[in-house]
Amino acid sequence: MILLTLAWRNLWRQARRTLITSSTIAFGLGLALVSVGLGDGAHNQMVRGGIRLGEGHLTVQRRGYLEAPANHVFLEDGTEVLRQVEAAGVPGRVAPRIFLQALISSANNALPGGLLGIDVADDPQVDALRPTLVEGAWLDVGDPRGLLIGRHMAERLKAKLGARIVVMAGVGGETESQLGRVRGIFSTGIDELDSFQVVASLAFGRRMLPARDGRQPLTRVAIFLEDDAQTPVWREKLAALPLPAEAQVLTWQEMLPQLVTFIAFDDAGNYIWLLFVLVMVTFGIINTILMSVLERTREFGMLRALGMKPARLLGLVLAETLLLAGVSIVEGWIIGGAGHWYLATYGLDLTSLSPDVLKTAGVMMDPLMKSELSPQRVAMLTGIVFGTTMVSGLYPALRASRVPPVRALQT
Amino acid sequence: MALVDARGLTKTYRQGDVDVPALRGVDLALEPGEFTALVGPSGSGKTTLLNLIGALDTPTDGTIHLNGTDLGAMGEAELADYRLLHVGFIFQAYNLIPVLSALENVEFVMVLQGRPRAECRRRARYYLERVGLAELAHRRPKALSGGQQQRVAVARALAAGPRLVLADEPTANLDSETAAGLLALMGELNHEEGVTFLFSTHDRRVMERARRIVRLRDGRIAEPDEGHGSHAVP
Amino acid sequence: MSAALPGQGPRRAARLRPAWLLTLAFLAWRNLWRNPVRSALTAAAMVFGVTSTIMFIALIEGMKRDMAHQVTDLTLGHLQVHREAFRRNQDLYAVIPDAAAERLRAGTPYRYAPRVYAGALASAGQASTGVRLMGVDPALERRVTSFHRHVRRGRFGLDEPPPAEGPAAGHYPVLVGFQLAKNLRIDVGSELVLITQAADGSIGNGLFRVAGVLKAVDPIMDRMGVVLSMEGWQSLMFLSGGVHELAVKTGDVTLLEEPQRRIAEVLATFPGGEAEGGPLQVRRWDQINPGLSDALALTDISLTIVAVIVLGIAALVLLNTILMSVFERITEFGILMALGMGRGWLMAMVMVEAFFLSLLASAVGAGLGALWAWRLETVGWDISAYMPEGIDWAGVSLEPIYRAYLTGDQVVKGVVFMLVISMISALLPSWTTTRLKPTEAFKR
Repeated sequence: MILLTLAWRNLWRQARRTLITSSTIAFGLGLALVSVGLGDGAHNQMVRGGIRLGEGHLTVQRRGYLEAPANHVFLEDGTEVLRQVEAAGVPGRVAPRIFLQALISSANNALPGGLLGIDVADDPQVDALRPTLVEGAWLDVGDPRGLLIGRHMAERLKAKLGARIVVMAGVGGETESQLGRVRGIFSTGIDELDSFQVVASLAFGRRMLPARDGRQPLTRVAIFLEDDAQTPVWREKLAALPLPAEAQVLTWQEMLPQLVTFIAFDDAGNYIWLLFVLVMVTFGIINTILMSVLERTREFGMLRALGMKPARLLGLVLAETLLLAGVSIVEGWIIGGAGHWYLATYGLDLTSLSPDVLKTAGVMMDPLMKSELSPQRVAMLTGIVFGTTMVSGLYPALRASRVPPVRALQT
Repeated sequence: MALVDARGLTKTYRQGDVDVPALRGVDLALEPGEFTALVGPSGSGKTTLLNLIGALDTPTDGTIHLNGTDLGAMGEAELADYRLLHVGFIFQAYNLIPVLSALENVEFVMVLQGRPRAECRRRARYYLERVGLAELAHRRPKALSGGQQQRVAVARALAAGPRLVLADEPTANLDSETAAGLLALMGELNHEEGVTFLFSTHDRRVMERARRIVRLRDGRIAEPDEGHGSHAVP
Repeated sequence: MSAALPGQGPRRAARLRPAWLLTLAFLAWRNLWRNPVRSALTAAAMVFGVTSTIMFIALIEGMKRDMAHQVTDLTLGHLQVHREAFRRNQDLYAVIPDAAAERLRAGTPYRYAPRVYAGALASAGQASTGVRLMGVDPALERRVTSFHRHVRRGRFGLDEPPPAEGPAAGHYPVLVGFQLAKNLRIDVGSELVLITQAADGSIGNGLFRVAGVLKAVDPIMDRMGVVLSMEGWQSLMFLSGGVHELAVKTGDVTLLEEPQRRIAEVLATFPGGEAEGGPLQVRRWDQINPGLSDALALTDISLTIVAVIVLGIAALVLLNTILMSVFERITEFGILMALGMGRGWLMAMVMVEAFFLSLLASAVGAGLGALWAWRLETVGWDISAYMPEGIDWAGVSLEPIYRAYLTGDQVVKGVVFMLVISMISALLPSWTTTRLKPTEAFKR
């Protein structure tokens, strides 16, 4: 115990030096917390967006679709898959979907696009898209030919409400064309959707896909869970179902590999530059602690003369380092905590930038970036800073323990 | 039995490319309760001799037995323990730990020895009182005069209960009055407790106080001892 | 009387004299090496700061250039001409009349590459998807963009007319985006069916042959781009009278106001009413792709922040070191002051020590940084193991190789930054020396 008392008081012999050092460490930690918080916040939001506007937490689709998406790679017995998934009691929503890569044409123009056939009453896309309608109305359940198109597509096709649209798609060597009418025009602000997405009912989509033996095809069944964390659990459960052999259960990570890679990459970049900061802070720490040890050579010699063992001297310097780390970490939490709180509440406002800047890895970032820090992250960053500080103190501590008692009597 | 039995002590230092002999074959025996001074000019080897007896350093040749124990046979850790338990030190300056109060400084060695807290406190208070600094117990070294610091050092040395106290030029930085006071104090303690005091000094006042003087010159004992120290306290 | 003997006058504290600056410098240098370990550690922190800053700057500059190059040299050109209606809505019939293109070629010294666009349904084997066709004039295209070199597999091949015989007789060659090739499972030599809605409303279709697969261009081209010659395009669309787009190359991508003005003048001589599809417009690349300029500006800002932080920490380390070294030498300073050295001298000496240390560290850092950045420029940093598809940002796709771009002024900037920040952080501790009283110093 006396060791800790001694260590604590030793730390404050040179208050200014100690404070500058601890502030440097604290700054490093605070910076890490803010930087990682923003990064995590942006990434989490991208993931949530990608899941919500995409194909959910889990997707059941035909094997081979992921590697090479193609219209003819569909679940032949779509209704059976849907039935099994619904019967499994998934805590969330289950959305049967048909998706076809097509050519969308009006009298005036023809454009590449994607036809998305959904359950117009129940699909989660309804919640995402309905609020963005700028003209017309959402599709009625009993409207088999109704279509919703994005604003940009409407402009390019010169299609107004009620206009006739032809959807042409090739499925397994055969080309199907179907006629539809524009019932509504949406504007989400997301270029992808406004330029390429055509929304229709499942019935419309089914007309484009060949049905055999009365089995109703689907491109996929998208599952949206209430609790993100349940994803791996339900993946196992769904994979264990007696689904048709052609069906494959995929997680959102498998569906959005570009996003996953981007996040890993971005994280790596963030950590690399934080590493740089850490290295420099380490130089500063070693410098300070080493100097404080070398200054006290005579004193350490005296302690050895009095009978203190080298191990205890080592312990003393390490205790000083430990306390320094403690002080710095608390400071760092305050700085980082303040920064994080501000960014979590108000966010980093990038709305003044052109929306293109926020397009990457196939998703759109929210122009208002908010910070998100999980306890694990804080613990990890704190641990790293703590560990680094302690490691920096090792060499000086060793130097201290090597001071021979003879030093006490040298002039 | 002699408390300190040193035979043929030789110590050679290496300075750059040159070997510097500091001690050349010194024999010395100290009885318990002695109040002895090692005297000699700079370079005579008295500090070196003190180092060796205090187990701060190891001889190039020769043996030292403290209370029958052969120091040469002990490793670093054992020597540290030995110093901790059996030897007290008073240096010329920088005796005290700057961040501890006077009381805490006195307690320090006892705490290292592992004595119970209450005992450390009790003994520390006693010895501080004994050296006349009870009211300054909570002052830090920088708030104490040179003389007061040395007194605290004496208290610390004795509180730990050693058999032998080694003092290296303890009065060198003090004015006459203070030096006299300090020496008187040490004399009293030597008388009361029977602890052996060995000084290294070239201060006349110390030499006058010492009951035995051992002169060193060029690493050797120069003349026969002046005065054979009392073997026991009268 | 007092002036009779030199040196008899009252003593004054030594002022800062130019001649003594040399002595001061000498002293300062020596002082640095009193504690080599400490100086080395401090220098190490600063070296690290400077090296990494230079590397970052060069790397970011390289990425910016790549992105800008990707956009301008590769497909967009320096400027582009469109009809307003095409620009807004991709109106098929809003064409730039051939006469306009001729007049531009005659009246201005710039190079023009015509393009036409249409949507189509592409099928290969079982797979089928909507695509965007881009028709180019291969000879003219070469003179404006470097598109023809941007082929991952196969060759550009659009100059070649369709073979007269063999299995591919009459099939025009096409280039496809790499993602499209993956999705349709086609490669060089594959057959591709294209179906369109021609300009006259009929259904156009034809068989084509894949001559090459493109490298990353932008997400749209990558996923749904099919490039063919003008003739090939016309064989499907039968559009007459003009083209949709003219890509323009001038002599200098940084000086575009003048060319823009001249082109606009020529274009104004053509009617631009509703019937034609609006006026003919010419825009610079940064007007066409504002997202990219924003992205580049954003990187500049984050780079500055990173540099300030990194160098700031190095300077903090320096601050700490100077404080320690000053504290150690207080007695010495006291003696110097008692001997007559003025406060200004002392402060100058400490500042010069700091300057030497930072200069040394910056020089080493600059050397290392430049070396590394140069290596990154020539060899590049290949991240294709982690991101095989490259990265896409702000509507631009980049191949997964980072290349740095090193310029002298980056190195200078890094060094100057470090020196300035160091000197600022050295100010406080060196100023404290001036507040010393000699007697105080002795007491220590």
